[in-house]
Amino acid sequence: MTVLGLEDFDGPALIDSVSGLRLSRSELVDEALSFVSPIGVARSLVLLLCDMSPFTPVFYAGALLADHPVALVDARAPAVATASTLAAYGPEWVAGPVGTANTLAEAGIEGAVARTSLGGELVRLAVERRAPLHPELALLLATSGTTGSTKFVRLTRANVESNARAIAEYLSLTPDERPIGSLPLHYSFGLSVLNSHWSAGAPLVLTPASVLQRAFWGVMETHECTSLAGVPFTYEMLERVGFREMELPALHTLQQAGGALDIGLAKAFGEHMAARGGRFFVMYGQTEATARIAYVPPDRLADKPGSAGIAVPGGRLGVDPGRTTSDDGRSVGEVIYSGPNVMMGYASTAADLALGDKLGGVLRTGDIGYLDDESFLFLVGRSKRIAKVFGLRVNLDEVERRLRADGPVAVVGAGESIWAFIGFGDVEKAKQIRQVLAQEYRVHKSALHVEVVDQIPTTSSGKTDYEQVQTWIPS
Amino acid sequence: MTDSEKLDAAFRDALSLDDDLNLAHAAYGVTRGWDSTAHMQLVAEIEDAFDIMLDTDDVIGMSSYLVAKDILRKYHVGLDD
Repeated sequence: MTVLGLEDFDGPALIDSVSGLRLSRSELVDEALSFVSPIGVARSLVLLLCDMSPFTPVFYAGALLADHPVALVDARAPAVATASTLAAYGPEWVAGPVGTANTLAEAGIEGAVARTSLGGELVRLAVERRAPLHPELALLLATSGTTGSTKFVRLTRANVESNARAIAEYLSLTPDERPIGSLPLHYSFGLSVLNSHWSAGAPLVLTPASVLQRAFWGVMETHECTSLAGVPFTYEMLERVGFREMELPALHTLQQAGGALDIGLAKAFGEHMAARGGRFFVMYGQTEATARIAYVPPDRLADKPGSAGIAVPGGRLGVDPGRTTSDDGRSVGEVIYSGPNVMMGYASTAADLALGDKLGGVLRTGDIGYLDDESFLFLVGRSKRIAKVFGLRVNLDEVERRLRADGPVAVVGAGESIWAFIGFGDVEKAKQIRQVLAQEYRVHKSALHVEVVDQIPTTSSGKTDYEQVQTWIPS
Repeated sequence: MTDSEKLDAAFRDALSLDDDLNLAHAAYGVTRGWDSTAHMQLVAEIEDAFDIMLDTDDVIGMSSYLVAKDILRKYHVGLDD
């Protein structure tokens, strides 16, 4: 069966800037199938620890080609996080960078290396019972980034293929594209760059470097990269390194998702690309929708500032009338998206892997917004208590639960920051908590603020008065 | 604080380093905690500590603690060796 058009085009599938490796599509497919062959014929769940070396996309392709549901996590996550995930879902197979078997052994998990390839190894674990897997389950993407057991989004082959094709369509991708791998592959946005370009016949250029490293720009030049994708923080970094003064004749597309970009920056990058005959795509999406939900056609960016865009091809956006509150005369409510890329549901345990489609293609996004008269989406807030920090999602209620053991606490989000107000302890305790949160949620502490207060305000029904707490945050 | 102490403090704070980690070994992408968000913080703290604005070339060139020391000498920061 053909996966992401890998067998439909000639030309390279992968270019590794570090080793110089170029894999053609047929070479990649052969290597991928060989890599997963020790797993055998029976469908088996695999955990893939992702980094930016060639084994990651190759193994991912192999898992899809051989129909083994694959769960993607960060290879650089603390071993305790990986161990937690393994304990919760019980896969028999783990693939990761060379050395994974040793790292797992140190965390008390015994396994044997079954195959190595392109900087990675496939490890077989001693597992007593294989959890039943739903026949349509193909891909599991993490939706939280804590050291607790990972919660996953359950996606089908159809979810992956449809979103890849929809993205390729609105980006007008061709086999000549050379996107740089600027985002992690275990992250839905980063993976969608791979998926969409593969399905359009183009390769991905791999690099472990970030935009703050000289090596990154060397790769952009050497490989004549045509496209770069980033979250809002990426664009702040690009500003810091003087991107708009750089000569990059091959670069014609910028993509932005993973949170709301400052309107001034969006305008600046939009104008910059337009002046060069290129395109800047502001987009909106969620892992729960595989990756993309909406995009702003570049020629409309200037007259729709702050918009998250129109629905991607094949999708439909609506606003829930049941939760409507009038705001300046508009219908504002929870944004509902329907399309072929909507997940089947979540998974928190091995038993959940057997579940089927719970949503029927309709996703309640948890974001509040409205559609203008041209069906452009504008987001005004979130209904769920979730913050977006450096493109990562953090559940504020979860952070609160974590801290509540020590005393009363209120956690709120503001912009790309998280504020924890603790009704206990002192300045030293606050510093310690900030450090712990930074480590556990893998968020840089510059986005975390912990302050000691006398009391956490409550409403008349005894719940935390978040509106009041929000006023404590300096603007 | 001497300039050397200021630089060390900026590194330890921005990268959230353990006190016993030898700074001479700190390198971007190698040392745990020195990722892009930490790097942005580090650049800001160094600029604050020494009241300077780093060139783009220096921002992307600051790949390790030792390289940072070399770079800062250009800005007439008085670092002892």
